Amino acid sequence: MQVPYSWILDILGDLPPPDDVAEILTRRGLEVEGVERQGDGLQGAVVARATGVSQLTPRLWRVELDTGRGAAICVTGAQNVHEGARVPYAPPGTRLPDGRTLELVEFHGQVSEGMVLSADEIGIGADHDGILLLPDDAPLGQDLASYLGLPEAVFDISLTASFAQHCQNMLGVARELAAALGRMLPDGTARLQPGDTQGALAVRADRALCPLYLGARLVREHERPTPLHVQRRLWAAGMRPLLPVVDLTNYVMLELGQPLHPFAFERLSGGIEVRSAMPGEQIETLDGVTRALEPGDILICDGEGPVALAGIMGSQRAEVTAATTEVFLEAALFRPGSIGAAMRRLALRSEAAQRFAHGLPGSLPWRALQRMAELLPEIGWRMLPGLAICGEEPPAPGAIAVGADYVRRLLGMDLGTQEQIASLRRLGFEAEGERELQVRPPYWRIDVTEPWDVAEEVLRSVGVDRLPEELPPPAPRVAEPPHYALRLEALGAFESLGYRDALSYSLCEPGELEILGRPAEVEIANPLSLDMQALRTTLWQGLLQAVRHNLGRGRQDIALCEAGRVFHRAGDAVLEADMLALVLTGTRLPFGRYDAERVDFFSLKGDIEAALTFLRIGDLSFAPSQDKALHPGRQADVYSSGRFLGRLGEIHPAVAKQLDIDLPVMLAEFRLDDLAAAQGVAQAKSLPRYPALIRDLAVVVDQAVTYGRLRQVLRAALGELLVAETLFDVFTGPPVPDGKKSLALRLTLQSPERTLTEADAEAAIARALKAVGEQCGAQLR
Amino acid sequence: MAAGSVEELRRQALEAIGGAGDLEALQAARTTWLGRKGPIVDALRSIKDAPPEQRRDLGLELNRLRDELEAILSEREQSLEGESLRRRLAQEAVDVTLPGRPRAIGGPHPLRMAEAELVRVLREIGFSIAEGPEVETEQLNFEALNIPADHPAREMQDTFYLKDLPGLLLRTHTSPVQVRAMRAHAPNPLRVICPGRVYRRDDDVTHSPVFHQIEGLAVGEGIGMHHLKATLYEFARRLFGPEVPLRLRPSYFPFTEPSAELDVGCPFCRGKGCRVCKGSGFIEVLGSGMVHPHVLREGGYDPARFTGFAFGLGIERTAMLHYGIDDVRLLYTSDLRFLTQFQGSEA
Repeated sequence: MQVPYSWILDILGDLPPPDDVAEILTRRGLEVEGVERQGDGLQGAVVARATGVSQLTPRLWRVELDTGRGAAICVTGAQNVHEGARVPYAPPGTRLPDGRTLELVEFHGQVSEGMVLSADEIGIGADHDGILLLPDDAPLGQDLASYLGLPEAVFDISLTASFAQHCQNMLGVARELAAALGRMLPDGTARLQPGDTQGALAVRADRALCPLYLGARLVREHERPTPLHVQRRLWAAGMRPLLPVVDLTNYVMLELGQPLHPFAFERLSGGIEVRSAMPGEQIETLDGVTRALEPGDILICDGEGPVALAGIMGSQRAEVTAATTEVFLEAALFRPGSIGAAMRRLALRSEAAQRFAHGLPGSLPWRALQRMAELLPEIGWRMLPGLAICGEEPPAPGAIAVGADYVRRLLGMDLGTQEQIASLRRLGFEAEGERELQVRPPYWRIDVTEPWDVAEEVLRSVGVDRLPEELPPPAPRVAEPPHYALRLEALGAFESLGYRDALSYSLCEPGELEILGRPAEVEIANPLSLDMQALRTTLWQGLLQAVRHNLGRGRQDIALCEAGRVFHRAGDAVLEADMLALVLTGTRLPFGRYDAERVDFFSLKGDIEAALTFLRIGDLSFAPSQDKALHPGRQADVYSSGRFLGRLGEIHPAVAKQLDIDLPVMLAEFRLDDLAAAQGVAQAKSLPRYPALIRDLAVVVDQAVTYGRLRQVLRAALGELLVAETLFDVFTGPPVPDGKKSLALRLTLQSPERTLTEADAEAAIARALKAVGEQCGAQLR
Repeated sequence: MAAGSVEELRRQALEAIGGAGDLEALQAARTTWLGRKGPIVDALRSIKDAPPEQRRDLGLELNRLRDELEAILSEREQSLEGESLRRRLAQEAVDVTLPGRPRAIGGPHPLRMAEAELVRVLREIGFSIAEGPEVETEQLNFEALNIPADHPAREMQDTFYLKDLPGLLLRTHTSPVQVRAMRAHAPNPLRVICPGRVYRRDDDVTHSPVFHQIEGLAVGEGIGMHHLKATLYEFARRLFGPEVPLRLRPSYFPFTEPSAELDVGCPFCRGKGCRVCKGSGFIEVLGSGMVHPHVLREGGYDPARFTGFAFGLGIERTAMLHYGIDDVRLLYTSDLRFLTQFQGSEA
């Protein structure tokens, strides 16, 4: 909300400088996000009077001026200057707020001695078509900046929902400031008395949607412009001046917080009805947009149908125009939730809607009408006696009982009862009592209804700075999710192997999940964009997107790891799993003096073996898997002690192509809970006391026999004697027969009980050969 | 053998040793002169043939000569060895400015680094980690947190809903984990933090539809706002340094009352006012407040007996401030040019 300093100053009489006011407001919870200084830098302009106006060309006018200090001649393109008008005059040498300095300029042979200025050029309005016309009593020759009170400081205040209820108006901001400065609070204007209610339009209202509806008739007696100070305040507060009577309703809304709606009286027919929209009903709002309504939206209707979307925006049918001489003025209360819901659904955040949506004090319509009645003569209008009244003012909330001790304990502040009472009174509350306070909020605070609301007011009133600092007593730790620590440890393990931690959105395009054979199971009902329609079922989608992104930027060597959640559906429930995934492509090391390793299945497998070992996950085995996203011959499931951990493989070239990736990419994915369950306990064992024997062994087997199978048989045959085996060669081709391969292993044999002899080793090797011969068809090479 | 012959022997030996230019020649000279078949041993053996009165002196001279040659040989050997080592080392010298054998360099994501730091500090202050689902019920995400259907606060949190799954949504904040943690532990005193991913329908330079928050909650008997203040200040001082200017500012959240935001002195301009802090000298880091009685009740704590405080902050915002990142979307593109910036550069 934009709040002009001068407006608040006008309400309170005197104030500290703008920067101090900003600080005070911020510390009370009205966060000032910035202070704009409108018209800052204007230097040298004065108030002048047009003494003669003549046409120079069809588009330019020659204006003779009395500057108070002499005569001057200006050329202007503005059409609204007339003889006798007071105008802002900027002689050559004047500096404008936008930084320009004026010089003599010649137009069609006429030298213009400076300019007459528009509101836009002065920095206090948007209108640059016409000259800013000053009131007739503006003193000739006075410095314009000082006449207009420039620069005008305007606070940009970010209102929280609680302040939006009572501070979305100048009076509310002034009250907060007054309380902070220890001043008397401005109460707001008096209430209009109901008086004669004859002669107004008949009004019927759905009381659930509109508890109170007041209608007043306004008539124009003279045609006058909106006073300059009103125009300036509207503009400074962020609203555009329009027509005098409309400007005045906006002015009162800004001042008091009560939105008012003027209808052109002659364009209404029959009585007014306030009702819920019917299914399928539509309205064309003032901005020319046809809005589809829903039951619960509130409509203002006359005999012919809807004339306004209540509390949000009017329609063109009963719009006030320059020709309007009689107005039906609405001052009402609408159900806040209905206005808020419609405002959000229709994205129509009008000034009125933003106020109604937060709720208004019950007496505010009466006060706003009173204020209108006071101000109307300034624009040549008058309010007729005879109000339309429908409904009743909601009763003011009752007193709140609050324990003085409750406030002390909740805040942790040693505040005496009298101090609490005084702090509340400063904010306009009535408060009395000893151990238990009876607190009655002022009419403008309908949001304060509970003891904790009162405690908050006490805190704001005495100032948050007075809160003492005391650490809370310790509480026992609670069990933490097991995968939380593992996640960091696992990421760290892969990071140390060269992987970069990546983060992807958990929302993605369902098509990509489909391509990966992991179709979306949970979709977004109201997605933000096409590529964020589904919750991911695999981290591969995001990592492959990252690969694509980096390939597009010339990075081919990519190693990424990501920890995150995937989402599956089980009936009406959604299951979430924390996963860890890897992607690896390109070469391991960049081009350079040392050999770069082009990564393949075994690069990633080696990384996984290393990292899992580091994470105390042992007894790993790998078995061929069948995943449609992966190369059919280059993928495996990973097990620890026979328990499934996850899967790795090279992407299927067809899948890669569909994802616009044209090089082999290695992928792996694990469920963190599975990794956590497989983690062993770190445990010391006694060191071997007897030396180890090392034997090399080369056997020839059928191509179809896997190394894993051979190893399994070897391990079974040798038992605990075999402490390690290392495959050091795989060979095919002559002299190894077709369809066969040679596997060479180095076996480390060791006994925990004695030193092995040569004979022990020979017997062991014989046993091993017999076993692999029988079970794998292996022959010694 | 006469005394003159010993002298002659010595002269010849010294000449031979002196002429040995490398260790091999030196070894040959040693064998020649001091070996079992060498002239000195020969001479010693033939002492018995010398006249008896000369035998003693001759023996002494020969032994002295042997010792002398032994010493010269050793010295010469050492010097040649040293020379040979020096030569070898000179040959083995490398150009130390050649690149090292490279290792692939990985590293953590800046957001994870920020999260880890926040979690570390909060765990030190006594909080334990709790987690909750990212797909949350409307009840826990809103109603349980005192945000009924037409509450204006819902407009601040534009929500993703799920197709065919009425009542479920993507959580808009980590606050529902508060309620879950309370339900799991009531009526015991509780100190938990809840880091996690949250979702809002928002996408621009400072807002990402997917982002991370960390939430803190303390519940117990006699917890007051002074405890909140001390906890937040302790947290901020550990994070930003003991001298950092701090201020609490009243604010509003539906699930806490009273509510307050914590501002820290702008680390960029040190309070003088700059673009980052919009001239105020302070930067807003977190929202907080005393847990609303409605929320305590939802969590299974009797609000007449128990009170609590809660706070929450955005991890992206913390990371962006800390590392000077100006576009939140950079955190989610996995662009290696970006990810490799947060440690010593790759040479």
